[in-house]
Amino acid sequence: MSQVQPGDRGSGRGPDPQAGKASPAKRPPAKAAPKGRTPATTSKGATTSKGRPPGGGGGKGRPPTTGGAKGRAPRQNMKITAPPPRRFSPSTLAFVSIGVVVVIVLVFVVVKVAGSGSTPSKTRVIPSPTPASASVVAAVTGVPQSVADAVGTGQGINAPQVLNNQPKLTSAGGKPEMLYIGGEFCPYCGAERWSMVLALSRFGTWSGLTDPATATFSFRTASVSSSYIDFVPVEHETNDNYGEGTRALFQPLTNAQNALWSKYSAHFGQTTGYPFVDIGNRLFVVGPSYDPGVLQGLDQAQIASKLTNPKDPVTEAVVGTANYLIAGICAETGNQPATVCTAPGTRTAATALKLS
Amino acid sequence: MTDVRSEAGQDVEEDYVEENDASVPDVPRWLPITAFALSLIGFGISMYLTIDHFQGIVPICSSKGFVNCALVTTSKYSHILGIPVALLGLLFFTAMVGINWPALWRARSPWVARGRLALAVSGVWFVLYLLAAELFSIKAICLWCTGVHITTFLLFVLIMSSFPLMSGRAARSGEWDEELEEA
Repeated sequence: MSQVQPGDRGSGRGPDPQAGKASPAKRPPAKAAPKGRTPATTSKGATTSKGRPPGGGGGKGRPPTTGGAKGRAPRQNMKITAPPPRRFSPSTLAFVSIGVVVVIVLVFVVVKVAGSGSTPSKTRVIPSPTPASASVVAAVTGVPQSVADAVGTGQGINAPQVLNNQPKLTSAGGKPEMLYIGGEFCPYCGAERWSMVLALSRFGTWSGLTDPATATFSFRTASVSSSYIDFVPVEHETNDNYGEGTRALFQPLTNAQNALWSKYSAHFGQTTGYPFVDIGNRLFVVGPSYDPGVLQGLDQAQIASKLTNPKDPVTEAVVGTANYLIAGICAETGNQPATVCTAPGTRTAATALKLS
Repeated sequence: MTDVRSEAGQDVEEDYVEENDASVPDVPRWLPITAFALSLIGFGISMYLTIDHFQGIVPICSSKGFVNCALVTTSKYSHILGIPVALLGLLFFTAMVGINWPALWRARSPWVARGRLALAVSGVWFVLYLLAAELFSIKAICLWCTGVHITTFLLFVLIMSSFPLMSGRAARSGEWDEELEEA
């Protein structure tokens, strides 16, 4: 049985054609076993069919030595010295790692294919809009000004953000623009829409409001005819049945809209989320104005019916938020129409926002 | 290639050799070039996806069925901690282009190889996460993203398989294995 000593290696660069340059014969005698290692010589199991010792790797890749002249022992007399317990060689680890990644990818694909084969793929269903109830729309748009004045800034409302000295956001017609970006599925957007419907009804006439089968409206086909402001609603995602984060894009954003969304969300330390409202690049709603839980368990008619009671939490939330939006719009329309912009509820909100 | 121990005339403390191996690890000549080319490809695709992201444009790609770039690039998985994934990809490949610069494959510091390996490993794990998100959550794939994933995986394979040659310890282990095979 021959014995291999640790220093008794060839150039050892594997397939490296330079391997033979460093002749073992030129090497100085090896020291005894590397520091701290006890050579363990075996006569059995020292080599595998590939000539490798059991284990592999570890020990900084060097087998221990039993001493002797490095590179001087004739190969036929070499004896394989078993290394200390080793884990895996770097080469083994490398190829195992690659294999693990390949296996994971294959598992993903197999699970995906098997899953889609065993169960019929889910058909994306985008609910069709139905016109919003006229009575509900009338109740929201007809909230008495006295109620709005009594509510003022309401309770538990996240006031919009005000940013001065920004480039004006105006429509092609030169009117101030109010951009809304939301998703039909988004409960915060649903809550915000109640206030937006009320606020914008003070400046124009709604049409095309739809019922997305939840206790809110959809702006999917909605528009506001107003001589004061242009309302640009974007329901960016549907309320289809594919689950959060995977819903179909419904109304794509223009580059300019996307830039506004990104810029001002980031400005206020938020990621691009829903709802986003930009009134003339001056007043911004970045995130929910109030907790949509206030509306929980109520249908549209019930919510609408509460809007005449200024003490009701629903009214506080919906109308209080609307007053903020109205104040923001007034700031961009030059306080027109005066009847709306000088109303006590609007003034209260404008004062709170330091818009006046 | 020379062996630092034979030049020194004595065996050298292993740790010293590992950190100060004067030998230049040999890798096939095509490997640095391929890795650099893959890095450039990944950089290009990531740049395109990042520009599209910030301009609000959906990448040129199918938007129906299982291949749906719009669905993928606008899903909630398109951001991580508020950072667009496309931008992360661009940063990743920028680093990859730098560290795979052909001249750096001849660097003697083991930390270059280690940094390259760390980047490759982190990249491929991120790819697995995104692949799982595409297949099981978004239920759609984006061909541009898949291009980035394949590029990252190929870089991982190249870097992982060359790492033993690039590290002194691994190289010595290889010598040992080879010698044992000869024996």
